[in-house]
Amino acid sequence: MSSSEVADSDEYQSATPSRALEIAFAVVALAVTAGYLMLTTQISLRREAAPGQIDARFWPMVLAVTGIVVAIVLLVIAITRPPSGREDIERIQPGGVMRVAATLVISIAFIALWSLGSVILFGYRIEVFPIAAALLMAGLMLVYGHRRWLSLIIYTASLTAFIYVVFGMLLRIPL
Amino acid sequence: MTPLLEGLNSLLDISILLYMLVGLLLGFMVGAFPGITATMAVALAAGFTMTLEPVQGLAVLLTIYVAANFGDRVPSILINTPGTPASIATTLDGYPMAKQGRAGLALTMSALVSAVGILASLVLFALAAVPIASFARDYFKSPELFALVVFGIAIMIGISSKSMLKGILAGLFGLMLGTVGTYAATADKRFTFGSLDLVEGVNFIAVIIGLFGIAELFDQLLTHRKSHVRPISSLGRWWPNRSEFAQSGRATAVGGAVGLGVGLIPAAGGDIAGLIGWERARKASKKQEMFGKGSIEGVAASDTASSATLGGSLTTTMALGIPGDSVMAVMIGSMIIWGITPGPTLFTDRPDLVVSIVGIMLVATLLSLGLSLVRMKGMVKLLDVPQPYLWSGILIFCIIGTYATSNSLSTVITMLVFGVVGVLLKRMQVPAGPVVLGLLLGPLAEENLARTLAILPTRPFFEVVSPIAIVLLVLAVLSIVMPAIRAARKPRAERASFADSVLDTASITQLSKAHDELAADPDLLTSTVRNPQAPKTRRFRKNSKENKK
Repeated sequence: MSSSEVADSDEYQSATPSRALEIAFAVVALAVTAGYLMLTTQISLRREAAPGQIDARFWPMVLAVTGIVVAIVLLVIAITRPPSGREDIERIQPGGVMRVAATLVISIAFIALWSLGSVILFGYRIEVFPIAAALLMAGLMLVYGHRRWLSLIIYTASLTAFIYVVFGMLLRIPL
Repeated sequence: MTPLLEGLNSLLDISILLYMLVGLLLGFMVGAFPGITATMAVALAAGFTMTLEPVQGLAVLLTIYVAANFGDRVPSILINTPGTPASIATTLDGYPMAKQGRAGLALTMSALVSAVGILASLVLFALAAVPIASFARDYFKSPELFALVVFGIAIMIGISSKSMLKGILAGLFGLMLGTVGTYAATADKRFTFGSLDLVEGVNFIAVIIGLFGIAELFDQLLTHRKSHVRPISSLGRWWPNRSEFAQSGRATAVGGAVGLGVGLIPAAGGDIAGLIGWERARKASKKQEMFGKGSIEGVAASDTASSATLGGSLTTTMALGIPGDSVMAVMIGSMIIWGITPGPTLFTDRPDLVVSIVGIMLVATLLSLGLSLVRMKGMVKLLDVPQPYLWSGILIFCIIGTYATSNSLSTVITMLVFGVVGVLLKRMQVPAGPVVLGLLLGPLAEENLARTLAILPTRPFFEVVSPIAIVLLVLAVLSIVMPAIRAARKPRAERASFADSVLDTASITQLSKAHDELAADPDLLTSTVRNPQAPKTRRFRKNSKENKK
């Protein structure tokens, strides 16, 4: 539906179809469903189901077997047919994967810091959450390419304060 | 007290109005920011509204739902990018209108017909919801309920997936997640790995926020490019004149009828309705050739159609427990937390809720219309907010929202995990809707299947499994098989994007012709600040297929 006006760098760029990716997906799907099947057979039943009743393994078993069949068909299609188009998916841009990875690392570090709850430093009990949240925001803004220090500090401080006051104090979520 | 008074009474609380105002601003903003969908906003808000009373929570979530439906038209018209998927069809004529300097007119018309569409669909909800629910309550026993769940998941797969196999896998994945925890009938523990957090099952708010919030965010982080697109700022005249109103009347009626019908189909939302409405209106119009070149009829038709799905979606969600679109799938999750399970018995237990819901939607529509008409100029500035603010804000709110549901960091980790899973699924074109639906409805399906299988040996087959159940199961199969057959019959090149798969060939040809004509006209406004260096640095695939598009 787009036009021939592709010279424009703002034009939508779709992802490229890839057979390897389709095969990899089908293999992962097969592995997951097979793993689920294995776990299903290991569900410990406290008692046998009465006649006509279904036990705790029955439904997961139905799902697992169906899943395996679908995954196998998907794998066969991925190998034998040309890969399906990916016009509805935008192309990954350079640096995109790094941005996601950095976001994940920063978030996990934030959660680790937050899990400390509070620390006692120089005889004072200090809540970690506001500090961790401010670091999270600042870290993310830097990763996303924000470089102006003043707005960085103002935004980080005000959003952190907002969250701490609204959620911590007003809504009484034990942050 | 009658349910009517009771329902109205529960709305006469100042806090409800405040919650609605919050929802209104939030909804309008998420609608206006491309990339934040109403589903994502409702998922996020679900974390914060779970401690509220049901009516208060509904006031927030439903108002977001309605207001986003108004806000999302703004970027469609001004920068040719739908604010949420529901306004895809608005770009077809809205953006050409903006290029011709008639953006104000398009925005006003869009707001007016959206309100008309929603109000018409509310009448449908008010009239149909209770009869449908009572019918389902009286005739739906275990086999029918099982069939209904299967049908709901199947139709979600049929509508949201490009590859039916991937859709089925998504549904199965959701159902598998739904089996984690204690099996109600025998109290056996399944897939809990000794973790106490998993005994009650996977926290579905965490899954929903992960799949619809974090995954969307990660996808934007992956695909974001520096954009040179600036909103068109010359908006021109605002109010349509009499002949423009008269011209749009037929298109509005056609669009409304399409939207009401599509809305009642579970899982089919505003995106599909908008495109079909636009196409039907084009065929019914006296000025067919103007469609795609900035026809006010086109805007009227697509926006009435996509807005008129709201009531229908609400009807199937509340009366049957089968979500009408992806926002409603998330809403079901919130409602279950409040202790009200959407489904046939909802309105028997809480007849006042129909009135409350209609009341909230009505007020929300009028407020949104007011806000839309007061001034869109401020909204234009909003589109310029730098992405880093948006992304970091979304992330922290996703984290706090998830944490608030359980006050436990393990839930936040679950959310992040599902965010990663979600973005991988998205990159592989596996829809998230069926996953959520499977997770929510899986236990219901299992319970009713168990009951059906228990009765089956004792009585003749057709006495247990009624024609209703059989029809539902046949429909479930058809809703997956039919799209697959239709896709297989279309030549490969023609099933490219979502819009192409809904519109017919004549419409697509007309659109691309109109697009070329508009591109060739140098007198039109443009939303793009062209960078003279751009052609040298651009990275564009010189692929024959791409150029053919």
